[in-house]
Amino acid sequence: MIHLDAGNRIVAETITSQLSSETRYAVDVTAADHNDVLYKVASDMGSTHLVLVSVFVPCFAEVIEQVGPGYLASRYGELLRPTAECGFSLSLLLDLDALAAATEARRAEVITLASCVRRDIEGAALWVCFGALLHRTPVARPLFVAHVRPGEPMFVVPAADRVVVIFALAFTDPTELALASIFLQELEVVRRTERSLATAPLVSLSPRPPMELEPFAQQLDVAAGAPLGFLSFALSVRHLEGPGRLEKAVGMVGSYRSYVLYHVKCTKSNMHSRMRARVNGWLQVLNRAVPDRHGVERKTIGGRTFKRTGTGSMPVAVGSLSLSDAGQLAA
Amino acid sequence: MAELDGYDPRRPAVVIDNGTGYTKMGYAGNCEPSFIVPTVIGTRDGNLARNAGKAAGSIDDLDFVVGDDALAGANAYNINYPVRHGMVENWDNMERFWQRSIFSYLRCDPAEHAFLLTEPPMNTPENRELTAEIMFETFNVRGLYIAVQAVLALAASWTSAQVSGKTLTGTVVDAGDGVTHVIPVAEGYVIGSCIRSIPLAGRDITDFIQQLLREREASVPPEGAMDAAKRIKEKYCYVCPDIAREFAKYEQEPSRWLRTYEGTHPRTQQLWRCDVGPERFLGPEIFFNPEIFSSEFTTPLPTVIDSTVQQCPIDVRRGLYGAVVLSGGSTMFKDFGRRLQRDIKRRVDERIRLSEALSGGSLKASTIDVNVISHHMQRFAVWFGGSMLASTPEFYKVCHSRAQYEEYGPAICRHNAVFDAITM
Repeated sequence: MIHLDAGNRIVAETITSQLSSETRYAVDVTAADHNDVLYKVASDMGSTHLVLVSVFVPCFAEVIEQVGPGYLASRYGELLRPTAECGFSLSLLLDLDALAAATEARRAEVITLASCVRRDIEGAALWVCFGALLHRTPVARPLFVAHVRPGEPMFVVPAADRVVVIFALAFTDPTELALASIFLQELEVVRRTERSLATAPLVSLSPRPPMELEPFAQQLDVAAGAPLGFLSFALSVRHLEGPGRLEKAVGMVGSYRSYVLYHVKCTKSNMHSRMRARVNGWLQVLNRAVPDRHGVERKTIGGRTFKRTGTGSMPVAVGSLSLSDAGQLAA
Repeated sequence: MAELDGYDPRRPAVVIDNGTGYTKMGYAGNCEPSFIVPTVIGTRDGNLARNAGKAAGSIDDLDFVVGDDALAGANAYNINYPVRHGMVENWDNMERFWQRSIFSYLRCDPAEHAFLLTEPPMNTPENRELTAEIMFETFNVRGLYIAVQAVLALAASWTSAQVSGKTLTGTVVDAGDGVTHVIPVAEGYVIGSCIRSIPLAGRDITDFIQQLLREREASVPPEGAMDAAKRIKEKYCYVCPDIAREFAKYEQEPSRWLRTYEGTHPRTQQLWRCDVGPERFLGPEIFFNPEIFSSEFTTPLPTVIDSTVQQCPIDVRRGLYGAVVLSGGSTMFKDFGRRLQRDIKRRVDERIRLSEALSGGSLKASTIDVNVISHHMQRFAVWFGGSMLASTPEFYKVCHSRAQYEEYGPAICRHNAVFDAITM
């Protein structure tokens, strides 16, 4: 498994099991997701056929201010509850009876919508800009910013022929910082050199804010830079055309920070395995080693014996030498 | 103990209980674990470390599967059970199992969450340190608490209607898949010297049922026999008060007691069926009459529990009899608790009667209450106890934080919060 799934498994499984079980019982499940997102799936007002999926996304207000409230209505339609549950960013109300009666495709669609709220809110700008690029319509804003993690904003800069997505990356742990920077440098190099990746989106990693952000330098506080640098992807129409590819692009680009973190952890696990293997090897050597027995006469295969005359000096051969030995010595 | 500074209380702690057979994981505050997956990992080559970096661009070290996926792909992968007898044996595989659990199943950034893990009673301090090392070094967890499974099981029993007060005194009978433990706990301290383990558990019941079926039913295909026995155990088995009378009932009214099991052949996909008869009560009976299954271990469970309590300090024995808490999937059989309570009570009453007789009638003992506590959360009692404790504010006070780890090293996990009462 190289990629992370787009949807939250706990939410999807909770709704699916509610739909398939014959007797409905009240549910109340809390789950977290990447980037500090919080999900709560609970029966609404004690009625077992209504399920309320409430989600807390830290950057919700910022994102909705930029893409406009119409985005939520167009994405979630009648599922969206007008007011979110207290303490959450938005709430979706699912009617299980209606869903059970609906078609298989609609059920799958609703479950995907409910379990992918994180992707769709954090990546709202991606949906908007990628969609505009695909249909060749203009975008209302020159720049979208979403602080998906504190201190690590994601910038989306739409252009006529492409969309540039820029991540300001930082890792607090120094080891992780080092691993992530090697990982990303390698990514950039492989993208340039590998022929099979010739059609992949352009990737660049730079310590300073990239050119695309220059016009907004005053309004953005990016001059200080990010500890790890700025990673940018440039996607064009050909990455988005085709069935399901738009959704895939949003999912993969939007969760790139989590993806890097996941691979840093994988690398660490791998290094730890090798360290453990090495330690085990050394322990084996240590366990096999036996201290030298002093005062015991030891013989070579030719029957010669050695006597140690002192520390650090050469062993001196004594005893009988065979003819061939003598001949070798003479030569 | 320092608290976790600046921890957002809304962020639920992660609770993972790695058992020998199944791993239970989820977020604190929920009633049920979100995922119950077999503790299995499937790798391409048994030795991940040797494989690593073999060829440039190879991702062999990422090519592994865990849980149900591993069992489904058993012919393509090497299957490994990283936990044996409750203790982690293969740390490489365990680290990868946790990695997949956190990122793919639970989906969280471990640096933001506090973690509660469990350990078997009498886990070695070295193992605990290794766990802490992996959790803090690889995953940079925010906080970590390693709890003893038995104590969590006791905490879980507070939900039962039979329990009046919240005490951490009781005898935990933990029957999982691999081994059954009887663990006396007094005020949160595990009385380590008195723990008894019984080499009979869920897997042995399955084996026994399989053995019985093999002798009687020819229609069971050998490839699917183990799986069938397991399903029969989970679906039809119960505990009877008396074997002889139960056999008589089956003789008289077979139609009322016999069940039919239907299965499909794993390879040919053909349907087959077999009758399930006395297996239904004989399976769990190995706890009460082990001689019907094993010739090495023949002490019944109630006797083991009774003798365990008798070994404990005299002032806690009443408490230990008063709360015999069941935990683990193999205690889920119908009427298991009732039979256990009856058998223990019989032994206790017999002993009291004997000592009264020996004293010549001059002593009169007050009766000892024996309570075997069953509750709904029995199957994941340990996980549920963990979920309950990790959702209280006190949990964050007793957690080991990352700052502490960086200051003192993995040895901090040798310290358990229940000892604070003594040291202060």
